[in-house]
Parts: sequence; C-alpha cells; structure tokens
Amino acid sequence: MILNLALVIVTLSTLLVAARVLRGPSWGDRIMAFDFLSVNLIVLIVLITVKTRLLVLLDAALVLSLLGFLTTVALTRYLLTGRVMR
Amino acid sequence: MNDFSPLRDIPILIGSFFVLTAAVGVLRFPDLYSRLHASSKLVTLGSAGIFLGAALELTEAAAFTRLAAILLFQFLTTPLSAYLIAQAAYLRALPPRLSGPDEWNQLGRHPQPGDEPPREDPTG
Repeated sequence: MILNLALVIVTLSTLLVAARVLRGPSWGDRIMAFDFLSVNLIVLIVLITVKTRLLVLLDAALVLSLLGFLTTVALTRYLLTGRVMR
Repeated sequence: MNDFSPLRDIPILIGSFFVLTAAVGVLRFPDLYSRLHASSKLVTLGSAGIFLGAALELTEAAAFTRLAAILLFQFLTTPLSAYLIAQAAYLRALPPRLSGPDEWNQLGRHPQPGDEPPREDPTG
C-alpha cells in the first residue's frame, strides 16, 4: 500500500524532472536533470526490489549509481575543457 | 492498509515526499544554481530515507551491504556532481540571478563567452 504510493510519487517526480530536461533553457539544467533522473531511477529500482524481493536488482542500482556520476563528470569536463580525456 | 509496518513505511514515505519536493523545486525555481540547491540536497535526503526503509525491510546481509554501498556512494558523489555542474556553468558564463553585483567575480561583471577562464583546466 505505502510502497505503491511511494512508487507513484517517485514516478511523478521523474516525469516532472523529465519536463525540466525537455524545457531546460541551458545545458547546465539538462545535465543536472539527467543526474536527478539517474538518482530517481536508483530509488525506483530499490522500491521495486522491496516490492518483489528480487535482490538481484540491487546490483543494477549500484552500477547505475556509478554510471550516473561518471556521466555527470564526463559531461561537465567536456563542456569546461572541450575534451573528456587528456 | 492491512500490511502497514511503520519501521518500513515511515522512512519510505518521508523519503518519497522529499524526492517529490526536489522535483517540484527543480521544475519551479528560476535559476540553475537554485535548482542545483534543490536537487542535490533534497534528493540526498529523500534517497537516504528510502534506502533506510528498504534496508529495514530487506533483512538479508546482501541487501543491507548493497544498500549501504549505494547510500555511501550517493553521499559522496551528489555534492561533487552539483559542485562540478555549478563550476562549469559559472566558468562558461551562465550568469546567476542576483539582486546586486557579482561579488565572486574579479572582473566586476558576469563572465562573457570571450573571457579567459581563471585557469586552463580547473579540474586538473
């Protein structure tokens, strides 16, 4: 019951942030909203894990948290210095 | 309501409320920097609440260690990514909405696209 309510709330916030990705007047808003979206997906995966008791999904959440931070670092480095690696 | 367990449900409810608050803030705030404030801090708090509720519900050691690792990584990386986005936006001349002059800027005006950044590679 409360788990379904939490899933609905987090999905609603994901849709709101997706609207910010589409609207976002600058690239900084879009990078921030993508970072937010990755965290939201991790939270959704954890809630679905609690609902279905499939502990395998937590590994996906761990990998997604690593990938989201790496994406943010790569995008900001690219926009600041023009390249990702030296 | 028959399966209400407060140890699981109260942290999950608080966490999802804060995640929704952060989304509304990201959608409604007028400025990139205030949107960063809303997203980084509120999302950290909300995801911490949801992970706490999940760890109290899934009592296995495997689930607990994975959730602790995700939570620790979130605490480490969310301020870092917000800092990186704000630094890149400021150095690439996205002016903040201010009521007075920009006191952090040595030039006395907002950085323009032709200005040199203070260092060539601020992350290195």
